Amino acid sequence: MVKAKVLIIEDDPDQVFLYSTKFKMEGYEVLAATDGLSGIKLAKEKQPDIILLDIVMADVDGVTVLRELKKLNATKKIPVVIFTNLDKKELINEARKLGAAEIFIKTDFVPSAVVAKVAKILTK
Amino acid sequence: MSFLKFLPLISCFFVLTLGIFVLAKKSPRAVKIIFFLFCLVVSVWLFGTFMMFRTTQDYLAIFWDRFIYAGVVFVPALMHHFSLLITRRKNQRLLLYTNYSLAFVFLFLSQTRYFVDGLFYYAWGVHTKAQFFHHLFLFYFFFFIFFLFYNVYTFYKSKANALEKAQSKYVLIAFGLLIGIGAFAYLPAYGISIFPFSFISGVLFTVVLSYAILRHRFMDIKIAIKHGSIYVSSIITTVILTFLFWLFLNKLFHLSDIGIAISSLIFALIIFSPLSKFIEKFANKHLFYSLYNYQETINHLTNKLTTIINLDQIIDLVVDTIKNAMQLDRSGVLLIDESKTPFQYQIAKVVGFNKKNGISLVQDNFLTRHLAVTQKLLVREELDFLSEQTKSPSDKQSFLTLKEHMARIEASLCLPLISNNKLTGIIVLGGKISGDAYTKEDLDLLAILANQAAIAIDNARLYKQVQDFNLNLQAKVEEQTKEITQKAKRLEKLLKMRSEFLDIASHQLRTPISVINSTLSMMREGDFDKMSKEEQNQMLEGVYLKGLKLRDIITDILSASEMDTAEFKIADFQKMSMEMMLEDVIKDKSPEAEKRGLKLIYQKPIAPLPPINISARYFEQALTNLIDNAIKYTPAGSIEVSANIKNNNLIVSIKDSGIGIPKDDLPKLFKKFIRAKNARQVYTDGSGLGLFIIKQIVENHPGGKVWVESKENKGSTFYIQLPII
Repeated sequence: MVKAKVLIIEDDPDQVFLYSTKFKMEGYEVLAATDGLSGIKLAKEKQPDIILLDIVMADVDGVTVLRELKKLNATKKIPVVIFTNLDKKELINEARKLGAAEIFIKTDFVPSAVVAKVAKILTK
Repeated sequence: MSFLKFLPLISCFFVLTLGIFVLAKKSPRAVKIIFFLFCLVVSVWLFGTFMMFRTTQDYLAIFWDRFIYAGVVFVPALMHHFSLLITRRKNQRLLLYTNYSLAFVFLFLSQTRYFVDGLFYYAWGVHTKAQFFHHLFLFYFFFFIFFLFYNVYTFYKSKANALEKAQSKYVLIAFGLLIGIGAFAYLPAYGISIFPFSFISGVLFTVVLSYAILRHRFMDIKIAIKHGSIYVSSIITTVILTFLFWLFLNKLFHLSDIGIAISSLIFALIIFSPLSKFIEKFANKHLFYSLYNYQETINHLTNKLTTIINLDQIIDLVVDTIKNAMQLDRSGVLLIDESKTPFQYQIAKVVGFNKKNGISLVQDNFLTRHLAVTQKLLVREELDFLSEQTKSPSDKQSFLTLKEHMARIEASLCLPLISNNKLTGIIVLGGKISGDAYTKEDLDLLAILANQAAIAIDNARLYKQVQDFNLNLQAKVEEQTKEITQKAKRLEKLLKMRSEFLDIASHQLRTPISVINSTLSMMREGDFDKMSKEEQNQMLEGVYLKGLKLRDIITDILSASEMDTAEFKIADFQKMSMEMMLEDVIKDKSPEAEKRGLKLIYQKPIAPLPPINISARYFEQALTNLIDNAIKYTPAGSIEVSANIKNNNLIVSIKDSGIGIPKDDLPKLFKKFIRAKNARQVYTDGSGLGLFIIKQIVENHPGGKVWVESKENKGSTFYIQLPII
């Protein structure tokens, strides 16, 4: 039984592997994109229940992706969780203003904690 | 009406007095003689008229009438001649000779019966009848009279200066009145009974011209009216008025002689005092215009000076007011500028003087010394006297030279400005426009003014100094503030850069750590055991590589930090063989290249390389970094390393057949944390510090340079250049 569909947009393959493995273990369906543009496309097509979005990415950064996601009708209702290692107040504030559901620093949260957060958001 | 018979006599008296007075003045010139003659013939007319009115005998009347014409015939010629002299006309000579000739002709004719003959009997008196030649005479008379007016008028319009214009005006008025009114005297010769009021014109003529003489120096006559003369005029006027009063009493009342006499005396005493005050005031206002008006003005100025603090205003006030109030032709102020050595004069303001002339006056310092010592004003006229008085022969000469100099630039008066017993400047004045000399009152007044002006100028200069100092101070403060603001801005920028560096550095460090930690946490929670063998291996591999990555990033960050400071200086230079270093590094890197399927080639130099001064540790780091980059960014192909000598420089090049660098990214390439766009796609975890570190290392080698040539998708070649000393 699949709990929910999770889309991970993250450009570091090791991290993608880590989180997908964990989420899959916990019974989630995992979709992954290694850059922002394909992530948006995937979101539009597959309509995940929640999106995990990295900020520091190769071509398009996370904030732009967030803005785009919240603009498109197809995706604006999907809750977006920002997870990053960039601890910059301005970015965090902007993400919050744009409507991110949650923002957290990767090093502060182990994968199981991430899963717990996602579950909480999905039950709301 | 017998009094009116005296009118011609009184008129005659006035005119003759004026003529004699003019003649009596020093340096009689042609103009004065002619003027006197004119007055003489007019007096003849007036006197003759007087006598004629008084006679009771017909033949006497005719005699006196002819007597009159003997004078009158010369009026046109003399007027004409007079006008030529005062307008300084050179032409009309022929006309003048004609004029005189005709005058003599008419003189002869006037004594004949064909001029005037017979008598008209009027209520007021008699007059001869005009005959044939009289008519001719009238034409002649008015024709030639015209020339005076013409000449003076044209002179007034064109050639006259201000003073002469004023004089001409009065000449026209005086002669106009004389002829205009006096000509009515001809009418009785034609049977027209006009009472001879026209003789009053003589008085008017005299009054107007006297005014012109007094006020406008007409005919160059200088009159210094002393106060005594006011007294005298008061007496005369009182006498005249009392006389009239006496006549009046006599006519109207029939009192005893004593009664009339006493009344007249009382009258005289009553009117004398107010009359003399009136005359004094009148004279002050209109004749001594200079004295009355400017006294007040100068007093006013003196007071005002104490209230003004602006130097330019003070100077303007002093120069303009003195000049205008005293009606001078020139005035100016020179100030001493102590800040220059030797001290220099500056022209504060001059009006009417040429600036050069003003400075030339003080050029030889003689005037300065003199004024500084005497601290009193200097009048040009007294320089002769001073020259005589002084014992020193050089001073004698200097005084005379100064006098000439002053005369040349038309300066009459020098007032020293003394402050604190020192000479701080000079007020230089020209002469009065009216040509009058400076009176004692003038000089006293000016001395006081100079005193006040000196103080005021001193204050103003001090004030200006303070103002300037303030401005200067302000400018300095602004400069310092600017410096500080600039420093603060730079500091701010540095802090911003530093915080950015920390942000990125911390991000770079956190990334591998988060993976390591996450993996370990999953292991702790038992997830690891649930994974397949493949998954486990992949996870362990990822963690291991992240650990290495962490090490690399830490190294890079530390290097970059160290090199980023101004104090970073490589010290361990040693002469060594580049070939050996290159070979070492390549040997090191070959396994990695092989693993990726890349060919790492070392192109031996054509000729043996001389040993070169480098830091072993750092240079090796740079080379290794470059080769690392080449390996990282070359998916397939080869990397060529070579070293050669060119133009006294050693050039090492590392050429790869990798992804190349986009043109846009080339300029910023060697800066901190910059990674080309296409680099990220191939190797996402680069710290962005590699090239920055290489650049710091190379440029810390004296004369070292590093640069790149690249084309996207074709490959890049990095060059390092070091000079061979």
